[in-house]
Amino acid sequence: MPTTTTGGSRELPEETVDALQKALGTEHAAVWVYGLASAFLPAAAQPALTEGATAHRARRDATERLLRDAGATPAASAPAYLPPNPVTDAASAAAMLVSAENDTSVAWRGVLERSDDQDVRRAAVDALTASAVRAVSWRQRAGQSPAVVAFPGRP
Amino acid sequence: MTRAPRFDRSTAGDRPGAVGRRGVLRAGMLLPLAGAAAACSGSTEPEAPDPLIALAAQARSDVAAANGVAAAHPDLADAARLVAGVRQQHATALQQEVDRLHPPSTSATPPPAATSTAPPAAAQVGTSAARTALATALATAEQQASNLVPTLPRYRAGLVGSVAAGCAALREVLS
Repeated sequence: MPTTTTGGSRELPEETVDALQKALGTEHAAVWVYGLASAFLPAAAQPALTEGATAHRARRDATERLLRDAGATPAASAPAYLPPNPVTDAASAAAMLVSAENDTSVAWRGVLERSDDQDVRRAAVDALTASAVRAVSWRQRAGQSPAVVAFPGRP
Repeated sequence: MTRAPRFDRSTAGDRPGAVGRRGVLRAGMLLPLAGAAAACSGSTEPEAPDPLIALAAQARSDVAAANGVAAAHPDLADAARLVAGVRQQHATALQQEVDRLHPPSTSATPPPAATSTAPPAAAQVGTSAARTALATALATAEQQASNLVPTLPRYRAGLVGSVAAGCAALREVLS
């Protein structure tokens, strides 16, 4: 994994680059998971699925740019990801989306705690917030209560 | 920072005769440290208020408002109780963080809950207006928190970022 920041236009310490790579990994996974979930969720959920997938792709691309600016090589996506639980129906697909959003939330809070760069901080709090908002509707669809956790991203 | 005063006295001229040119130089170098120590103890100049104090006050205010809405509007009760519960956790965590850096024994009494007026106000408006008022308060809280995130120390950035995200998520429940 690249850890140096030489040659980039933005200097970031190693722990920030590592945290961003972790966040990028969760964004790759989220993009993949949204694709899988669409096969199990009803038509009514498709707009939210499209919105979430689009947002995660945009976040993935922005994070890759940030890493390249810092002189690092963005981590590649895996060919496939293993859902934490078997996905067999709409509820389990929604639960998989909840855990994907939880994973990105934790990773982006991790970036907040390992960065001082203000642009990185802004990107991280935006990503954390957007993820927390999307998780609400997937929790409701998965029948999970409460639909809101008090501290999104707290591991 | 608490180590500074010990050096401060002995080098700044309490022992006459020991202060040659080098001594003066050393005293000069140590002065900023002594000044910093004085600022830490809060005895000279007033410090800038901890920015998390305002976030904690807003959280307490939201708890009071949400409890008022829950009591007055049965249709909104579940969502309002969720808001109250989450914002109470925010208030507690933020206040703990404030107290960690500024132990309450040295400062005055904690600020009183900001809004005793919110519950009666909630009872007088319609359900839709009450929902809007709660959502607006949460939007304000989210904005306050996320505006602070870029400049806070790292641990606080994580905590306050989660508070902002929690407020945004609560708004989603109200929508």
